[in-house]
Amino acid sequence: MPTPNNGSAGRNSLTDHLSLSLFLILLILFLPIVVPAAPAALSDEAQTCLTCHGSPGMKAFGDKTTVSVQVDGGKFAASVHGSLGCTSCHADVKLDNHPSAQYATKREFVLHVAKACRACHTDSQLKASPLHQRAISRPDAQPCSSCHGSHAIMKASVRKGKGSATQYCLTCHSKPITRSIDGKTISLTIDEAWVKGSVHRNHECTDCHTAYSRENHPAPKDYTSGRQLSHAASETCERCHLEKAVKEKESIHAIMLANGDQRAPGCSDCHGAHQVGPGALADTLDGVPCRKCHQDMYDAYRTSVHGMAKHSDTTAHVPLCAACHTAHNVKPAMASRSPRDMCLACHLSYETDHRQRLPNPKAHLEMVACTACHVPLEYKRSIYLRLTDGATGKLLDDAEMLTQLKARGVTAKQIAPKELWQLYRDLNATRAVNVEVAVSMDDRRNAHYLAPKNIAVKQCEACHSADSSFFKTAAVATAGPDGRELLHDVDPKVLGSVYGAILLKQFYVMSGTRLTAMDYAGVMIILGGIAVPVLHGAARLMTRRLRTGGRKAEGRRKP
Amino acid sequence: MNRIYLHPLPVRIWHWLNAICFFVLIVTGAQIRYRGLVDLMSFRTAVNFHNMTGFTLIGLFFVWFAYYAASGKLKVYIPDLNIMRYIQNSLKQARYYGYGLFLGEPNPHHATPDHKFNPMQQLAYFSIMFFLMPVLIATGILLWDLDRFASVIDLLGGIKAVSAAHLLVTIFFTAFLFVHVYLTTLGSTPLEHIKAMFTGYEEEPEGH
Repeated sequence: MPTPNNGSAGRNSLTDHLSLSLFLILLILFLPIVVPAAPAALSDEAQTCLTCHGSPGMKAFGDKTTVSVQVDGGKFAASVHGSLGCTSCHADVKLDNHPSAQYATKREFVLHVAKACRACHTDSQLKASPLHQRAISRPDAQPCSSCHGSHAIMKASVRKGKGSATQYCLTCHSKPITRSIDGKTISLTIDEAWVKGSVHRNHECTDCHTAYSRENHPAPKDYTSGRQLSHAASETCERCHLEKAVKEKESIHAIMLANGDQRAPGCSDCHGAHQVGPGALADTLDGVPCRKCHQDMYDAYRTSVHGMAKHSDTTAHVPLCAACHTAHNVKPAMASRSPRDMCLACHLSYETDHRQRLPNPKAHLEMVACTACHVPLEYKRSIYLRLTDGATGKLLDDAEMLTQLKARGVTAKQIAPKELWQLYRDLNATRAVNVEVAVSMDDRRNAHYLAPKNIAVKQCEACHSADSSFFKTAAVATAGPDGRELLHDVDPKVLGSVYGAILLKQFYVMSGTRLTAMDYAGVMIILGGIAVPVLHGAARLMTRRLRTGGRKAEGRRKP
Repeated sequence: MNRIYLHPLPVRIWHWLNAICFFVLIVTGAQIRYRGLVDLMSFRTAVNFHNMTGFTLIGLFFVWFAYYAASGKLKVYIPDLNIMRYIQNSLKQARYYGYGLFLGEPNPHHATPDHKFNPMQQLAYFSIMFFLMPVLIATGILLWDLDRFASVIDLLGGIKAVSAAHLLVTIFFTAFLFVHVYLTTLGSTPLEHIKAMFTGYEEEPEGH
């Protein structure tokens, strides 16, 4: 009995066909995603070369450097040049002729091979890219392979799409690439570990180098010096660290720069460029950036009471450079100004501490710099006469003082007491000008040798003595055009002269700066006092006969 | 010889303590001003002694003033208010010192407890006790604590001016000291006046 052909069986067959068709369509659509594309087939020539070069092997150069001659066939096949034969680039090597070329160095070999790149990638093509244009125009240009690699060269579009922006930059900048500024070679190589270890570890290169991106690599700006480059880089920092930048603009470093002194540090000179450490690093003996330029002062500080304390206990609250000089708005250091305010900011009980040994601590601290007593006596002291504006308290402009001196015809290197007095009068003719006196270090650098208490000067005689070495030199302090202190020698006799008595009303060091005219007057008056008994007594002696004779006569007259 | 009780015990004690103080102050003052040229003691020791002795002198000054004011004898220091008479008496005294004394003429002034000083002495001691001593004491106190009296010192023209005033008075006292000691030899015998300052009694020839 035949099986009945029912409609249900026919519908099932149709559904099966449709399902199969849909599966095949989906398979065709998604196959490229599920199954990676097979690398381009290696050329016969490449396959032949890889017979040997697919295995490990090294080539040595004359300078003992080596290069691996092994090529990863898979990576090469996947590279942009995967379809090319090896001799397309290594033109001097043939299947029937494999010369063993000798190169003095690895670089010589790499540069030789790089010439092959230029056979296809012509100058006109490279010049279209600012980066390449600059690279090919330099005699010391890096070979192509230093950025692009040798056998696994990827298409630009593939390479740009991979990894972070930083990784993209490091493609080239992890290689030993340099640029030349004013004849000096500057490395452009970045160690990824530097950035990873810095406080900017979470930033991409392009956060700072905003002009650069995967798509855009403009030709670097031309700088006349590495210093100019450093200062230009500071503008990058300002975008995030504006507050610090504003402070820095008031600093002596900014003034130096404004006056064209490129030695002034920029942000990266203190903080580093790609290895920016935490702020606390600057408060350590090893990490303090000031020593890069001020090594002599650092060495002095290192032997000071603060330096020794810092060394023995790195966690102790001990002042380092910035504690006194501040970190960003670094003010000009002045020999004529006592660091008193900075010292007393920490040494709060100074008045009690000093009263035990030093009478009148306020009067002393008013004019005697802390350093004058707290630096060992082997470092010379000097007297500074600060000419200050009565209204602002700031140092007088040096030019103003020089104009007045010139008008008086003063040209000598050392200003005489009378000339100083005349200068004071001339200056005060138009405005209030004060003379502030300070006993301080002769060389401001020596102020960093602050000694422990037991070495501090405790003998009053260091100052209070006619032969004190503190008063052998004196100088007038004024402000230069950049705000820095300028010093002009003054005859130290002014301290004990009548002119000094008028000018320096508040400055009197007993024994040290006494008014010598008073000595002469005193001697004359006392000699006058002695003269009375001497002369009167002599007269009495000479006239003694008159008196005794009289008495004798009287006696004779008596009965 | 007449014996006059011229110097009561408190006056004698005051006088000699005063003399010791002046001696110490002059020596330590010289040391303070001329350290390096005069090196008798350390600067700090000199300052400490000078301050201590200075305050003793100030105390003695007030003892002197209180004693003389209480005993009503302060007037011995006050010169005659009759100017013409004062000038005449002063000229007589000056003539004696400069001329009569050499000829053996009697001293025109006869010291009594209520009229102790001759017109010239009156002027000198009045100036010393009522003008120079206060200046010396005031400037000394100012120089003793520069911090405390900074504003006053400033008002007086600065530390150099105050110091100069202190020094000038000291110089005058030092010079006067030679004259003062010499004048003690002008008694009836060369040591008579000095002896009187120990015993209190001044002896003078009959008829004086």
